[in-house]
Amino acid sequence: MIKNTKILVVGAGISGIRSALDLAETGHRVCLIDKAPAMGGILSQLDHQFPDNHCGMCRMLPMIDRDNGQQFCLRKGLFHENIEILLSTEIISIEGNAGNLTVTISRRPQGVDPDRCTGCRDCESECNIEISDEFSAGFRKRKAIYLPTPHQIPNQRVIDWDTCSLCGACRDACPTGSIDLDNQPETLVLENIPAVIISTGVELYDPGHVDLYGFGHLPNVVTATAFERILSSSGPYQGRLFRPSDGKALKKIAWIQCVGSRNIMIGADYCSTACCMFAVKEALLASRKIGKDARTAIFYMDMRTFGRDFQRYKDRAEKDAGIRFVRCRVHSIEPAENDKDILISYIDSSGNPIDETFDMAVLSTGKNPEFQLPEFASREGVFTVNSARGFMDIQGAVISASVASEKAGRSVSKKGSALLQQRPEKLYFDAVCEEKPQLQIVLCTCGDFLKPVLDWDRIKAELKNMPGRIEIARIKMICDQNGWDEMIAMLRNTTANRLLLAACNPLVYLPRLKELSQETGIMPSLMEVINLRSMVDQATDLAFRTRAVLCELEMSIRRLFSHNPVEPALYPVSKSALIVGAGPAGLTAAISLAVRDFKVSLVEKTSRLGGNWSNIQSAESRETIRTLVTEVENHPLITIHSEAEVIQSFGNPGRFVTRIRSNNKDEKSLLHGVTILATGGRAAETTAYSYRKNNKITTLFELEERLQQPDFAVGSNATIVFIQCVDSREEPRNYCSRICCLKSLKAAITLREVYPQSQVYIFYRDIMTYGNSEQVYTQARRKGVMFIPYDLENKPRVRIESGRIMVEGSDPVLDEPVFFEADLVALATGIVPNPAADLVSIFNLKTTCDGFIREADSKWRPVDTGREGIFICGVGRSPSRANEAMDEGKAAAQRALRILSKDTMIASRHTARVRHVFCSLCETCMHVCPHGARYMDFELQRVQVDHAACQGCGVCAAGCPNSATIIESFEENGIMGAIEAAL
Amino acid sequence: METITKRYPSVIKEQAPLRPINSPVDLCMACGTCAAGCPLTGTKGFDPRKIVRLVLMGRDSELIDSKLPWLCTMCGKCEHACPMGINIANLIRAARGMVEREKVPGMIHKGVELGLKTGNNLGLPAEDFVFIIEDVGAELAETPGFSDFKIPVDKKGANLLHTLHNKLVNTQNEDLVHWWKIFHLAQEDWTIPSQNWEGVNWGLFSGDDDAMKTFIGRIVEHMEQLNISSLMYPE
Amino acid sequence: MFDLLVDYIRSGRIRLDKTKITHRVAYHDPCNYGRKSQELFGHGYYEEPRWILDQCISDWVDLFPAGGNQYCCGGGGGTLLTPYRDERIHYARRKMEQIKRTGAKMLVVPCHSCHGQIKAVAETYGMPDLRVKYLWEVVADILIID
Repeated sequence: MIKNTKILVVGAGISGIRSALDLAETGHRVCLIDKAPAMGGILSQLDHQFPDNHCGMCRMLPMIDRDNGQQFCLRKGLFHENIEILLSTEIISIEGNAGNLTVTISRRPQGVDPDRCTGCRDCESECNIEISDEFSAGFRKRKAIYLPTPHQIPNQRVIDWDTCSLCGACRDACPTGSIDLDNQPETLVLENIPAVIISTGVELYDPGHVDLYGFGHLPNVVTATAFERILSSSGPYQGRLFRPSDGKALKKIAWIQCVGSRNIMIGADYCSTACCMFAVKEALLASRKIGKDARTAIFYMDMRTFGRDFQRYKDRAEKDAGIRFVRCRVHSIEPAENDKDILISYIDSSGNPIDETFDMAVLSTGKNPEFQLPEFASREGVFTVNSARGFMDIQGAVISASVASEKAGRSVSKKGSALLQQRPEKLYFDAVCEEKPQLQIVLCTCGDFLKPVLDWDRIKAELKNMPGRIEIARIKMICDQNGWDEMIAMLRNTTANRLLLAACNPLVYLPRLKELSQETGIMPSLMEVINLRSMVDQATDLAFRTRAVLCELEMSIRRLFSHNPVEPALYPVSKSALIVGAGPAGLTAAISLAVRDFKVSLVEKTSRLGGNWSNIQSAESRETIRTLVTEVENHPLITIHSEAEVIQSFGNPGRFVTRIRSNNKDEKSLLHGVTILATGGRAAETTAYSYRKNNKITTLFELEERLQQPDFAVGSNATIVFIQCVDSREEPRNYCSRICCLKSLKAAITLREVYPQSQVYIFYRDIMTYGNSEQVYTQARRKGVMFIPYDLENKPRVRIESGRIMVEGSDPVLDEPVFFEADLVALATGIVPNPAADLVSIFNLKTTCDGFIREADSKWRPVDTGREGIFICGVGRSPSRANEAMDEGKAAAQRALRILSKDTMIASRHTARVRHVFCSLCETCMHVCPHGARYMDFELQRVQVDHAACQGCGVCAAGCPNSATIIESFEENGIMGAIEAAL
Repeated sequence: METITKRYPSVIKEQAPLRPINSPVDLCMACGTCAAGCPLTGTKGFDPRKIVRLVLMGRDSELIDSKLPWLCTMCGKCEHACPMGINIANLIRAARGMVEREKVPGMIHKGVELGLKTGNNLGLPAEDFVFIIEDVGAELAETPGFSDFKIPVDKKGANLLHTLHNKLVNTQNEDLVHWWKIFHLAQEDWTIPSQNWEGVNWGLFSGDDDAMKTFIGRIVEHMEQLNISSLMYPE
Repeated sequence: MFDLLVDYIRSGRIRLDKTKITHRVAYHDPCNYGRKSQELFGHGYYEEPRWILDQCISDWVDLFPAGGNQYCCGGGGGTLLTPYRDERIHYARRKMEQIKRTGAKMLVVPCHSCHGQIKAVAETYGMPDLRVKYLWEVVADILIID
């Protein structure tokens, strides 16, 4: 049994990684497990993400305390000193009570010792078993010993025990003896687990289960995930768009939406949420790759462009890229006459039947309806990420993962800020700038492998001749424990203040440099690792090999000798937060921080808590908000400043000073470590559809309000008409407000229940009931609500004739006009953000063209802003439902905790430094810095770098006209010296 | 002045037997699956989605009065993929059943009437029928390997009652013998009834449940009389 | 009917000569024995006729789509008895294209309506020589007589 105080995170996909990093960054120790032999979940297969169509997963990496983890592509792998990763591992059971769980896990051996495997692939060539490769969605074959993902580091093979015949060929072929064919799973019992987070994701629907799509029968019918592999430059056709059956260049591609979703016959009364945008993105990427001959079409029922920026993205795809959107659910897919193309029959907007051939069909498969969470997911002390319940886009998954980490962290802290384990750490190193540079080189001979292939005498001789004090040591194998210990022992006795490790893959060693620096006292920024093995593998001739190695060594030597690090100033963190806006999001964030013992100043513009937004809330959310208000009002650590506004703010993460003005007169300065903006939104106003010209024409929000009133009445035979997307999803307000459809449906259901003889019609463009809210749409239809789709060219019209309200429109299904005399018309006008221009300029942030405050990255860092230490949540950022806004509040609080849980802000190794003597105070650097890590120190009249926020990206150095800015470890001397050595 | 659109309470949906899941036409999302899958969509105004929409709007009479229900083969391909499980074929059949009988097109209702009156859709008397099959049987007996073949008519206690599609008796006599050959070689104990031998039930097509039950009832009665355990019914 | 044939063949009560039919044969699933039977009785007859064909013919092929998602021939639901002949012929186009594509000389059906319809429209779709046989007719044709 293992006594262990780590929080267990189950599932190492995007949500699991987010949760694990959240907790690791707030000082918790985490064990991250996944049943797959590699990390990354489904996103390891996807190269391009909406909205910028790049990957961007690395943007989730820690941005403060960066040196505790890795700084490279997250798809390659994850390293953080607080995270232990166990792959090929599954949970068997969870017992015990919340806060003290006993978790039994089973871990299958991977078969290959990662410390010994050199990635040479000899094992693969010997293996005689060949099966379809999951990663490439079956486009390639793989062996029973294989690389689960091509980009992972280390690129160590694993054995697939389910197909391995245990013949031993791979073991005999392995030059380093790293293969062990003992496949017995190991059962581990982990005790004292304080919390478990379930982030296992959902299974995808297998379209081969039904006889409709020809999937498995027609080779040119693929899933959206498989198409992602075709798009990938590491895919089966190196990113060129060929089709599987005959390698023909793709031109005409159809996407089929809702495969396995929105289908009560298979138990899928839900929308899989992410597929619409996924398909638009794929179609857009494909159109760009194909060029002017591209002809792409998406067959859909409702285009669920419910996110803040989705509608414009879809519009661009339609107008600029010419993607055709066809509103028809496809019945089935058939082979075309030539048996290679595929034939899709559909009906166009006028109901005409059309048979069209395509080169390929892509199935937008959603969540598998048979998928269920394990029973232990509902235990107390076990927190399930929402993305493990239903399919989600990346933003939703990332937010819900942070919500789970917030809950888990809160349960562990038990209202105390004490973290599980504060790690003792050497933060300060001897001031090496005072010392003479002295370099220790450690050459790993990789067992006996490198001895005969290099001219060691020459290497030694040449290194001796180089200027500066250099010691050389040879160690047989640094990667195994003996070699490692031998090296540590040697380094403890050295006086060297710089270290050069010449071994193999540097990415394998980088995570261990911190350990090495703690043991030896050498600063991490004065260590380098170079890859000896790859150089040796590339060159064939001994003299040439030796020369290449020497060249590489000299480059590093030059860099290390010329690097002279300065200790950046550290500063203490103010353990308090400023939250602007007391709506659902702000209130939730306030509670999340206060229960962790951090002081909160809550600034609210109006006189009451709950938000302007509480006007547009449904009854049940109002109750939740009321409870939240009471909790906030009674919390001793929360100070409420009502009728107050922010007038000035400056400072850095961990140390902000903000001036607020209350009641238009009293001014006050607050010192706080973090800022959370939850400025909210309000109902949009309209003049469309004769609004206000008759009191029977109301907004949806007003109708909701009126439905609550006891005296509300319409005639029992009333005709009630809802009109969706009023002034929305078209310029200038070209976004979906996300809440209206659900509200209209609920109101319509209520009306049908109270007045069974009533006629309720909803004019809509696309019903936006994503996720399980689809059930409300189904319910509304079951209750007899009639739905009439319209498009922008064909909006319904409302006119008043001698006090009677006439609604005209057309029913595209019957291709007939419809004409109602309405007793009530409800207009779904949507929501707009509260004006935030002042705040945005005070905090130096950005807004979208609609006035929402822009986040750092809509997918990977949705509640961060471009400035570290300032977070956003709720409707001020993006339209959201109340529960979503509250989730964002929790997520923002979790992000804030990364800073609040620290005593000191610690700078990372590679940050910018200003040589003030060259600086002309032109402020170019301040404008170009993408992280808001530069500020003017008016007292000293200097441009300063915030070393905690600085990411060392170098934009400032490139922009500086006087070369006043340098990036630590990338000084001119060192880089030029290295280049010279390379020449 | 435009006519005001009103939705009337639906009628037909109440008569369409439910599929495994409770799915009235109300659940229709107008997604187009049915129309996309039907080979007849667009022909003479036929469109399963429109038919469902008409019923949804309570405009059943428009459907019943049109020839649309009679163009449909009730094959069920539309509903095979319907995500809401709407039973379109049964809807059509219910609509057919609501058509006044004399307005039922073609031979369907005439066949039903004859069947009810005479026991077969051709209105063929029993002696004529027996003559035809015995004649074909005699021909078969001339074929090598079938010399002892004889048609067992109204044999009590037989194992299997064999009914016939009327077209085999009417115009396609040559197709009568296939089963007989198989029965003969398999040494099956079988029989053909001299009355009510009709093996198709046009009540299914005309939407006439009562007629359908009558036809089935006669066969069952027959089997009980003759003490026969199994039935072969070609449709 | 299918069950009876399967029983006869499996128990050896009838024996079949599989060498008699050498050309390619296509099989069509009738709606009534497939989708309708599945809906009303919980069992669609898809496997049984295919097993029988395996006993009778060495080169028989399926149309695509087959089984539960197959196309109706256009002759079901009593449409053979209505005056709407043009619509009925139009209806059959998909099915007939599929049959043509298989290159089969003979189509096997286990349904009288399908038999009638396909025979009637074969010429319209350019297959005047297509032979249409009942499944039991195929069995009867290749019976081994001692």
